[in-house]
Amino acid sequence: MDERTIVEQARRGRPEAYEELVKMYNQKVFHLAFSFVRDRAAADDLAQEVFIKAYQALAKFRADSEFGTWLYRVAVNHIKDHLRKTARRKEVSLDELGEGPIVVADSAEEREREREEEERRRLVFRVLETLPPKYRLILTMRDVQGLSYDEVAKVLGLAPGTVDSRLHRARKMLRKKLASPVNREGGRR
Amino acid sequence: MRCRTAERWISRDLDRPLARGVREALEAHLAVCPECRAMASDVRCLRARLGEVRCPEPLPHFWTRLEARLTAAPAAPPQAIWLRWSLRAIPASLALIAGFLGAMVVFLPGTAETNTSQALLFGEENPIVETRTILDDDKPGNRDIAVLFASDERPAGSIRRPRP
Repeated sequence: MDERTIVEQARRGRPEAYEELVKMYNQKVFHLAFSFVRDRAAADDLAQEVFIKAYQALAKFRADSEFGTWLYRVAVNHIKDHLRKTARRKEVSLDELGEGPIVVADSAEEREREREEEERRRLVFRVLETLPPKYRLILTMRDVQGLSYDEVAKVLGLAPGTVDSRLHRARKMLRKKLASPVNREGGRR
Repeated sequence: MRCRTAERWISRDLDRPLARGVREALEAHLAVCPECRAMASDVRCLRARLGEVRCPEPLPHFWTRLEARLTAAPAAPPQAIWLRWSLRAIPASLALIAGFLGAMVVFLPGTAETNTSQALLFGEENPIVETRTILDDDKPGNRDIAVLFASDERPAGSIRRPRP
């Protein structure tokens, strides 16, 4: 069964169809949420809220756009609201960065290199979180989530020229905030 | 190529393929500009770091937990949406009906004025009695004038008398 049919059935109130859609997209929505909140439980909660919102707004969904793009738009708007509400809270749960596949280092040297890499990654994300929301959002979608250029434009409802300039400003800002030697391969502060 | 332009192309190169001429101009600029070369290296490196994020899996039983929450907050069924629209349509319909009635009052012609004979007929009275009083008049001149005026259906006030 193709996605359009599943969406249509879900719109008619079939829970199995909506379950199918959730299974198709829950990982993507969760990952998007996680790249913003960096906390597994909070990301899970956000993803659930996104699916509840989407379910309640399913009747408004027009089939002239892709369901995935529409769902992403719902997710981005919900996450933006969440970020606005929690704007003052700057604490970041960096422990969550350690989750995922565990790299087994062969030697002490390799372990040390892996630890340094991890440290740099954390630093980049910590700085990313200090960017204004619109730059943080577009950079997360494009560079962290790996959404295509066109998908970013569609989800955010921006013209290609605006996506270009916003991405450029976001990268420039991120680079400026980070000390140059830190983010270079093998560099140290 | 100026550094400002080069910076834009460096960023765009990460998202979309550059036109051949632009790429050549950018490479020529990077070959002679160490600042832009450093920037190109930095943005590529930053992008790689951002892409390396190790994202965990969602918590288990995602759907089961979601289903429970969905039951607590069910979707607005299509009927409810139609009902909402119908409720919105009620004031509009009432306004339309009021407009229609108003237009009828304004544009429809008023009731035609009735002459004495018609009024007597509508009142189920005999108009012949009135005619009889005219015909019984002894003076022929008065009788003729009375007949003449009685045959005119215009109200008495609206008749213009010819000036001498």
